[in-house]
Amino acid sequence: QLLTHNMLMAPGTKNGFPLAIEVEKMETVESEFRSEFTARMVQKPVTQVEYGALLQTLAGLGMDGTLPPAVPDSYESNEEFLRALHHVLMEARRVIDGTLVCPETGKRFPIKDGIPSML
Amino acid sequence: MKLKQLVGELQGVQSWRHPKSELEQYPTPPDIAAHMLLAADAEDGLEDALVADLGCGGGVLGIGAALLGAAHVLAVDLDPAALEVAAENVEEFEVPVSLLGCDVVQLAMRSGPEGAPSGVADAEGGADAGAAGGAFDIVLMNPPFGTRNESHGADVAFLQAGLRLCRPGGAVYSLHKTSTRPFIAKKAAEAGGEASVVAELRFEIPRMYKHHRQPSKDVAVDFWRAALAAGEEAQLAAALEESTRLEEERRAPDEQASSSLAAERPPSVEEEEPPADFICPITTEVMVDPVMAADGHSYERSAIERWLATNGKKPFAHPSPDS
Repeated sequence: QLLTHNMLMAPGTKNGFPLAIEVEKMETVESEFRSEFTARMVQKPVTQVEYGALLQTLAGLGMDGTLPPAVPDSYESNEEFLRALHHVLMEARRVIDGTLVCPETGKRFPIKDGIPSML
Repeated sequence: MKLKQLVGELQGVQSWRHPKSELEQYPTPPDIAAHMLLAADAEDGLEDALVADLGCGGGVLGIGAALLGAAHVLAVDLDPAALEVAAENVEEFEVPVSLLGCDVVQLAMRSGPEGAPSGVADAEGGADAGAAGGAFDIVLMNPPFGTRNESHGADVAFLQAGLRLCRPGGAVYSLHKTSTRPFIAKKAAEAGGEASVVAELRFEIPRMYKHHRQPSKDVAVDFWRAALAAGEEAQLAAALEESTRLEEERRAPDEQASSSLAAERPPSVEEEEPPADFICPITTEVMVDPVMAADGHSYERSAIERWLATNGKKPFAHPSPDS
């Protein structure tokens, strides 16, 4: 699920981010839209969500064009953008079975029944 | 949500079917979890928060956080069997909780734009907690205490991981044995955090493993809140921690001898008002040994037992919401 994925790094690496996603089985879930929370995720200085990495991940999943190429100015009040961002982060492409691949080491981490294993 | 209601909800969280003694697995009791969660909510706010539950087990803390309004929870555990149970619980409760199989101490998160990734401490020694900072508003944990040799010090590693994972301004809520209090304060300061004991609780941990001889064991546990100290504050926090530590050492011989039922407020790096839920309505002091009565309120054990005895009723044998 892309919010977590966007924050996650492969353990023990300096820059093992973002992990590539290979999907075998995925689903789309529904989740309550929270506009302030969604806006906060791209807000400086913390920016829990790194937007460039998110776009890169979306491209890898064949979801180009779902989000604009940059966070729009006054995104906090741009409901269309926030809803699209919410959908991407919380709802779409919840991977049930698949693999996460570290970009630094190539190490593969399985995802089974929606739970990635980085052990 | 009130304490009684939250406890009721959390009693529905299933725990391990076959707990592993080498991982020191036992479920966080629903009333302890509820106290932790309501304190975190009162102090830092769980509504719309991004939360982590480290060493989640069945997920009671993470699920509770979601019930109190957290926007998203990441629950992490080493044990696939625990995660399986957690997954069932998450589905049952229909809460926004994601699960991850990972060693908490190894868990690495990319952090904010300027900072280096916040993750495992690098070789130079110690995570650069001041510069980096992680992503989470609130980190919750009931870490393995290290009552068995294999997991000795695990709770410290968990606490330090928690401090790395929380964003600047975020907070970590954790449980550690009271007997390790000065050690925990020191370790938190070393990780660039300032920490204080919110309350002293007692766990009645039931006999779970064959090697336990007693049917259940009472453990005195400190409920801690830790937060990253920024810059100068960190130095001040470290200095205060040092003086507190020296104070503790001077008092240590007396403190260990005296009963742990002393009502004295725990020393803290910064003075904080304890949440109302931790004050006994009868004694008006911070509870040292809270128990829940049938009315759903928590009271100081000694006080409620006295009250029940003078009112001609039998005191209950051990803390449980059913008493």
